[in-house]
Amino acid sequence: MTEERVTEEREQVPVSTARIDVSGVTTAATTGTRTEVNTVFECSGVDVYYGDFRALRDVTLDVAEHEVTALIGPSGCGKSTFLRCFNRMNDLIEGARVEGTVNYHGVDLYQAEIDPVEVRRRIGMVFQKPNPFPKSIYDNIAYGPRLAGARKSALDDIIERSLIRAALWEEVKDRLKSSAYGLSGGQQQRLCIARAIAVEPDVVLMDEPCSALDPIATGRIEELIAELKTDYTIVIVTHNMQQAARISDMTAFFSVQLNERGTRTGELVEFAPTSHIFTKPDDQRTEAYITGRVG
Amino acid sequence: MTEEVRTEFHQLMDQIRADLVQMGGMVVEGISAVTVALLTGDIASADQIITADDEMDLLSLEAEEKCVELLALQQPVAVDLRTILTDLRMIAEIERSGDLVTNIAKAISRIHGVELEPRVRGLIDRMRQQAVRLTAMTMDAYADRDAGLAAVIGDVDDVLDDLHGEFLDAVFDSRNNRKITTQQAVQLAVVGRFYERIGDHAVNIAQRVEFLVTGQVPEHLGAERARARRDQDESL
Amino acid sequence: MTVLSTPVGIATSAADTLRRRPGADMAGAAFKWLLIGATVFATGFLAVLLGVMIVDGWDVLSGNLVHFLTHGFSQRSATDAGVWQGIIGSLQVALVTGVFAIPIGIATAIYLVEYAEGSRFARLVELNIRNLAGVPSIVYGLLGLAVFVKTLSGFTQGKTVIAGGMTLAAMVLPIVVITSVEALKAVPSSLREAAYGVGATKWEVLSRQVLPAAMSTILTGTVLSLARALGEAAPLILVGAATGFLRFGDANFAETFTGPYTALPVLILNFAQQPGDDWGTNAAAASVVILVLVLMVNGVAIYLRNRFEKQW
Repeated sequence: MTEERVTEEREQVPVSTARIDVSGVTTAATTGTRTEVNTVFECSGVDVYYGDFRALRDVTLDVAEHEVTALIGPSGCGKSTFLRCFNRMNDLIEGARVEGTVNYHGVDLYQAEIDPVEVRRRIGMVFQKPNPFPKSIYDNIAYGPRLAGARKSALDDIIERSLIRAALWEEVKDRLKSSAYGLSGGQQQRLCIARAIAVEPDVVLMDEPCSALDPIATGRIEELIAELKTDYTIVIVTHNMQQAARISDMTAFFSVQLNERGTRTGELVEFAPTSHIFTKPDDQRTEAYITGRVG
Repeated sequence: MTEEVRTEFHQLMDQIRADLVQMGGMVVEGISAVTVALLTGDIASADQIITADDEMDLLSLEAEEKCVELLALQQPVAVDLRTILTDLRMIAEIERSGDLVTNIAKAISRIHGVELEPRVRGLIDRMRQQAVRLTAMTMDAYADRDAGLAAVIGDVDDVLDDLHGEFLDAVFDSRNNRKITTQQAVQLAVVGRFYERIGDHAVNIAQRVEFLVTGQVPEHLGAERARARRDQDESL
Repeated sequence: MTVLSTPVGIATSAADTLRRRPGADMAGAAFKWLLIGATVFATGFLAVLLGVMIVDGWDVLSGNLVHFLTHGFSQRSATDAGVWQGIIGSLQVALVTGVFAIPIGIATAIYLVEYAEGSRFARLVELNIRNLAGVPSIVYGLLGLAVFVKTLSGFTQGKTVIAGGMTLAAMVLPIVVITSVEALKAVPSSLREAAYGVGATKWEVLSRQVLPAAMSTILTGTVLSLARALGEAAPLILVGAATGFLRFGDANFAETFTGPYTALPVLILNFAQQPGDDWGTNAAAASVVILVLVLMVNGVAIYLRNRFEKQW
């Protein structure tokens, strides 16, 4: 079922290309680039090292446009590490090194001439704990656009649009100038989502965005993710398997292996449509993990 | 070496499995007992068999409640989900088989006093044998998660179907020879049909066992045809 | 999970076991009283010290305060002598100390935390700085004499306010660096990640997020270290305070930085070394003055902290 749906989506090329193409040549550009347009990330043979320690081994998977891709697995399996490869967040960690290729719309993100700052503007991120800046709600969202050189006159518009998109506008429109710290945890996390989408990224990465939230707030975020899918490609790390089952189209299950030197290396075990993973996973390790017979 | 982190949940699932195997055993015993009663015209034990079905009904009800509870509380996925889905459908199938045994028992009083021809008697006993074998094999396949065994159930059922055809011929030969009335012949035909249906339920269960093990929903020819028609309509 | 007790049994034992037992937490209570005792001792000690100083200096503080604060040093008599030069000298020295120690200290801390984080060099430097903070102040005086007074005499003009200020700057620099390093490390990484996540450069993250977040702690720490500098006498004696003729009234503000000077702690020492009870009274009164001065500087620290720690 889902596999069919995926292929169907892959064939809706003209719509998505028209949205991306700003040069005015909408029809001609679509031919011959189907997979290019519809696959946002192509990762192959990705290894991540922290110094000598190999945290992640040989990950190969593709992330499709306008889909939610969930990364699940036990702690230490490298799912967050892998997520941080997509926007070069690993660069910030001393001694971290990424090998293999991470192609974003056909461009290798780890080439020398790629500017990680520009990468992060295109590929936004939402973190585990809501982390608004110690500023007003308004300034939190304006931060990214300002860095990108947005004009002052355009800011009001950007902020309203981002907040509406993050389903927070109604709750905060009368107190945009008050502190972001006055919001509840769930609201803060939606603010962080609004902040991430204010710079109009192409992809939103989420690193366990609901782990610090109560079930209702979690439900709101999940609802929001489903809506955001129409405009953005979303990759989400979650330790909540049911959440992955509820919100994602594709699920990647990572596992951790203890090697002979006593260190743990994460690896991708299975990558398949979510309904497949949760009804009849192909790999025994996936099955054992999601049914609670943890290794 | 896996460590179990949902022990209670999986113990409950094992309990349901045990309940189902017990119900299957009751069906197997019921088939034998009701056949003996049928062949000996023992109305008293037929009544006993009818009463015993209440027990089966209660067991199936309890097993179903357990399944619903697990679905609601444990959010089963993958093999756990397939197991509970299989269990739910199996409960219905086994419970139906139990009803069929009861139906045979009920028919005993209606054909009481009829002297059955040896050929008819022989066929009834062979149908019993096959129905027992089918049901027992299916329950084994379920208990052992044996998809290979489940896959051959359909072929075994063909034997029962053939016997059923032979039985109908024998019954109507009997009637044509004026050994039994048309009324009695119809009653006997219905009884034969009950044995055949028990085999069909076994086949259904076997298909669910295959789903449980492999995750493949059994293909139905009818569904395939309908899908082909739907695709054709959409492409128009 | 085997529950052997009956509901009635549980209820009975609950009534028994949940009741408050006398002497159940003796150690906890004893520890609490120990802590209270320590607190009383510490504050009481300070209170006594302050009380003794006020009592000893009472003659000056009550009758002669204005004269005492506005007049310079005088060898002639205790009642003539004032601490004006000391106050001005201390403030000047503190100013020079701040001008050198604060920018250099904060810059060092930023480099260590933000640019050299985790490197062997940074760890080595940090370790050494922590050790330097424990070096006795007299050693800094020797350093000041050798480096600021002698080697850099072209700049400092010898034993001057500048030399004294730089000496004290060298002394408080490790404290400024350490407090700033701690303040920068205390900025949650989530804040940095948030800024990087929306496409900020390292400079943008540092200047707009990390420094503002750390600033209140940094300023509190540095101002408090200046307060410590205010109270130091030993290094200043070595680099020229109270040496020669104390210039007062006949020089403009800029000139006083390159002239002979004194500082309050040095003056207190001087008063205390003079024979006679009158001088003792002066020393006590001057001690109260320096305490008030330090309190005022601390007040500034608190003000700055509140100001930068705008509650969001």
